[in-house]
Amino acid sequence: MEDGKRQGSGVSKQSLWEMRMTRRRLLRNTGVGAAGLFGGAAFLAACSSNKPSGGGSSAASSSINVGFAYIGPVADNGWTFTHDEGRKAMETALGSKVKSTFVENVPISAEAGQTFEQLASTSELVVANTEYANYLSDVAANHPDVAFLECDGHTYTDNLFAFYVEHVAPNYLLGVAAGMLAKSGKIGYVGAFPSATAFNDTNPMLLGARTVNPNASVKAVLINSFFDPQKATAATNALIDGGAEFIFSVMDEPSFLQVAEKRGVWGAAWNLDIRTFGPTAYVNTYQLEWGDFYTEQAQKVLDGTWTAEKEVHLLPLSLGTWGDNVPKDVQDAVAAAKTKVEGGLNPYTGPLTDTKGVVRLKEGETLSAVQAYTIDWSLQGVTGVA
Amino acid sequence: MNIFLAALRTAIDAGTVVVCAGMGELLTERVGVLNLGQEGLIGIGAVTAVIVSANSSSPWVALFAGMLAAGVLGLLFATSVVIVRTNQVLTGLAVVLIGVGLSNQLGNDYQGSPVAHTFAPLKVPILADIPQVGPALFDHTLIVYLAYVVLPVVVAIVLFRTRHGMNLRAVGENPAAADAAGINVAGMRVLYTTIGAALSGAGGAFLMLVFTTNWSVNVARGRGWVALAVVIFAAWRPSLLVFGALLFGAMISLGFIAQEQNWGIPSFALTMLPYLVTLALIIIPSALARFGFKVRSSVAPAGLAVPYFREER
Repeated sequence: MEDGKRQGSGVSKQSLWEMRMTRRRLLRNTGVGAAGLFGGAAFLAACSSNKPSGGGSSAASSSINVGFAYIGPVADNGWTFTHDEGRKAMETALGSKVKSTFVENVPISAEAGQTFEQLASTSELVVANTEYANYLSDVAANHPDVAFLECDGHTYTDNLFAFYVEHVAPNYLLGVAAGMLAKSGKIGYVGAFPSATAFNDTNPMLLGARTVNPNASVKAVLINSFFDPQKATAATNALIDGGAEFIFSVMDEPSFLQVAEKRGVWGAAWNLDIRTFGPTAYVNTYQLEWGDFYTEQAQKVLDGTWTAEKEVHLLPLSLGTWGDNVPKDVQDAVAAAKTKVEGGLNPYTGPLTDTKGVVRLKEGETLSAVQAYTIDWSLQGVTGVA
Repeated sequence: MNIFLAALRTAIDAGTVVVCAGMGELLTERVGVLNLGQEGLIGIGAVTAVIVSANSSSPWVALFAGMLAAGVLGLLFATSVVIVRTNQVLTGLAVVLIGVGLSNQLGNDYQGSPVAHTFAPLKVPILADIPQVGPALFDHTLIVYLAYVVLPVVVAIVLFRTRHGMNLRAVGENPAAADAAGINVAGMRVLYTTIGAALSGAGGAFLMLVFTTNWSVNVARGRGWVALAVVIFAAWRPSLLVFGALLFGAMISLGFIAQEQNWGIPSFALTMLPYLVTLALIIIPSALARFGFKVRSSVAPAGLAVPYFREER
């Protein structure tokens, strides 16, 4: 990211329709209290049941509304920011055929259901940028004529499916860099929840690091949040205190990189290029770009050809530009590994043993990207995730 | 640095917020006012520091602005409970809601970007060069030394070694007697409630200018409530309060060390640790007294949370 201060300013310039809408304001706009909401929801459910059903909108439309629900603030310089960039890219690509609105800071709770109910009643396509599980699927079931997309979700119905990024390969490549940059082999991971995402960050990273540094290990500290600079700072400090020389973080904000910069270790991340927050420490980032996917899905809804996919739709991820201080030999080693991965090398290739000593993949066995999407075990050498 | 000394270093920083807010609450309670609004005051102090830091050139300006803003909210609270004599518990809870809500609203545009101007650590000459211990104890920002050393000493001297402090305590113990002795009860209460709130604001500002230089919603994260508990644990004494706060800080940093060292405790459980210890701090003295152990009688100021009506004297 070139401009560290670009959050906030863009929002005020948006049109009336996509005016920044907080969850509270959205709820207030219904003009009623809780009882009214329930009544409204029931009414809307009744209305939608009168419409022809059959999985997503079945007829072509000249223009559609797309509603986005974000787990964090659009100004987070991270996850939600990238989704909002994707939303804007979709608007640019489809022009007047699509209008979009978003609700930020939607908690994973019953309140989310109300937000989705609101979005579903005014949109043809609803996108949630994290897994809301039954808070989303319940609403989807009440709106069979609306298409639903759930990022990192695990529910597949006639009008709802999950999409996500394929991050086994990029983590493996970053692991190669980590193994070379951390001379001791100690890699720290600041994660959120003990979910498949955390396993798919740490396992391939260890495998990549071990190709260049047999002593490599990955220590994880999970802070049960994607946006908590206070805990992320403390976790990063604890990892560095324990000897970590390379920190990888999945946080939606860049505080870990500031700590890495201050304490003289390397830092790499998800989401977007955050080098301005730690130019010396910065290694690389997987760039999240959702615009093409959102455009494609919105176009399908417009054409009336949208159908829910039956397994997770994984988007490819790529590394960004290297940090200014990453040595050439590291960059070359990663490029060489990248060629191998593109040539068909699967990082999850047996023999692989988990932390309890159970052989998870026998010699020659592999785990496909879709299989890895629901992984729930750590490799020997990774601690702190399970 | 040894991992436990490193943890101590984090604990000292983490505890500073509680020292500031706790000392503010201690002064407030010593004059007989219960200000439950710590959580909100920390939030206001923090958000003001973030905003002012972004629009000024010095962290000191941000720190004082944070104290000022929290002081203004404290003054409002004091006016309400001392002059208008509203219920202190309810008004305090209102301060929490106002402070947390307002700070979240004001801070919304600052999420995800670092605080502009922050405090740098100040090494204590000679002491900071002691191997291992030096970096853990003597390589902190100036605010940390002020909070752990200067503040408790000053408060203790004022409270227990000056006539003014005696008057102050008299207002908290027996406002009627203090009033009869010619002490301005209302004035004393308003003054120290405001000063107390400003100290809590300093805690919030510290949080943003030193501890985590990134704004996030609900910034106080329960530290305000912990500060209230630590005052009780400390039996309203400044010296003990410092240890209570440090213990709380230690629990926070231990939660992360435990994960890093792979002790096998789930991260959700570790998150509870500081609050469990806080609970224990409150329960243990009472439990010991219950079973016949001699504990320092932790008597609250007798006039605590009781509005003073001169007419009912």
